[in-house]
Amino acid sequence: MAEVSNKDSFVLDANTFAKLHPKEFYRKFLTNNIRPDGRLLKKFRKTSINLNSIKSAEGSCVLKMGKTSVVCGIKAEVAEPRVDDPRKGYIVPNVELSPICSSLFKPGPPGELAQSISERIDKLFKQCKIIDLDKLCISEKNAVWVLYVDVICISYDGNIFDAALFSIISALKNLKLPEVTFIEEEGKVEASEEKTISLELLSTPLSATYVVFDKKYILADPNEEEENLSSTSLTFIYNEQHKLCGISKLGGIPLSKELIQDCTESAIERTDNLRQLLDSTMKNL
Amino acid sequence: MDKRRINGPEISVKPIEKKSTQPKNNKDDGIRKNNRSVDNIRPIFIKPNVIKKANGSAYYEAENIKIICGVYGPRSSKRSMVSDEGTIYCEFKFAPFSCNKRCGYIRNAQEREYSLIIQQAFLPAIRLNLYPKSSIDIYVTVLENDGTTACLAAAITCISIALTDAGIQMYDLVAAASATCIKGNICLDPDASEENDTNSKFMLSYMPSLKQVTHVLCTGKMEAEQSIEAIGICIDACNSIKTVMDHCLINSH
Repeated sequence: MAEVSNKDSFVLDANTFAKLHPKEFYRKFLTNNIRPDGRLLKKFRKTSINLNSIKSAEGSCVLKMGKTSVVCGIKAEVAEPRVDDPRKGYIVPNVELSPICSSLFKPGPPGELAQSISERIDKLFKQCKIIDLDKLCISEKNAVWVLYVDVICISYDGNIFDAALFSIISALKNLKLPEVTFIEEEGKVEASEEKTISLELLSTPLSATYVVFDKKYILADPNEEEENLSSTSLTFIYNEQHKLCGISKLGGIPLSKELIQDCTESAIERTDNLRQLLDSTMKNL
Repeated sequence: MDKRRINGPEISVKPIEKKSTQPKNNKDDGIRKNNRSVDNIRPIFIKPNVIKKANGSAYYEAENIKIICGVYGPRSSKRSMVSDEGTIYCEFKFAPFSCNKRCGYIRNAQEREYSLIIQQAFLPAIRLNLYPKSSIDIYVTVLENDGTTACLAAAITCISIALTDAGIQMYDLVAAASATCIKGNICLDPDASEENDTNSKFMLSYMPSLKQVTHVLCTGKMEAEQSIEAIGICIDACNSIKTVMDHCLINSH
């Protein structure tokens, strides 16, 4: 690997080679079924979560997935419901990729990646019935809960969608709302000091993301470098009954059916592992 | 209305908390409600090098204050003006879930003010003449807020470590301490409830080895003598914070 051309006795060391010819550098590893960071092709990075460490939020989760870290915090506030849906509360998910997490992101309004991830998660909430919005009703036509779900990325190293979704589901599962009463005469909502009520999730969809390198290598849980080198990313979202809630292939090269089917089993296994991690972490609280 | 984000209802409020009817069994003889002594600062934990892609970074925790800071640079300045000195750019932000009331993504006036204060606190400390035509970008996010002035002081301490982690040349580390005046006593490191009860805020940033003050901020009602006294008390606090910072830097290598 170190020698590119023997004739000129021109020698490149591994780091320089990786910078100059990143794709060739990856190919040399992938033909041996291993990735430069030491992972097998279908191996996900080590994931860990920490629940309810932020006291100012009603529910929170700090997630680390390799060198990607995100913090998800949920603030619950009270608002008037929509006129056409007097019993339904609101869920407002936003993902922020601020310039703190990588030099890729600039200060100012959210970039395309952040917008598209927020949008995909919002759609998932609207279409997959994760939460029964009627349960967020405090008093019909008068007051409902608004859950502001904010995910802040603090260190970016690829695969932000999986990280964001898992942190949101974990934070929602640990959400504790105060007991509230609506006082009609004054039109205000009073809350108890203690937060005790948790919210039931109808389903827990989690995702697994892969990228396709050189049309044939499937890399699970890509880091930033792998994301940049690959042309296609594939995301599978499965719920706890192993039912598919979403699949997305964002642009890139055409793929064969077999290649996509190849990922599904590993995706089910991954999402199950994440669910187990969440359950065991919650037990230890 | 921000079209580039997912928006909720136009107006939403925090529910009103019921006043607890139980009498508070706090002893009234103490000056502070949280039973800390007046010159007590919350125990500090700092960890450098937490953000992979940043040149330097640090995480700061002191009980309920949690701050993360990333430093990018020195990198080429985007401003077209040629300068023979480097510039510092700072962005200070409260995470939406960090405060009692949710704060939006767009920086408000207070956050902008704090960004400027941080820039000023570091101008005398960084050897900017070594970094011509480049800018040093400092991004700070408060993940949990328990006392706004204390957060600002914590951010400055945290940034010092992050700048050191980035290998940026400085004359000295900058440590910062905050204080408030409760019943005529100067109390260090006030938390959120103490801050609500009083209306005086004091914050000082200091270079402990050079024994120089880089920034002082004093707002609200405070007697002149008290302010002078506060400077002395905060300098002592900065010296003890410095030992924590030293430990953190020595252990990280």
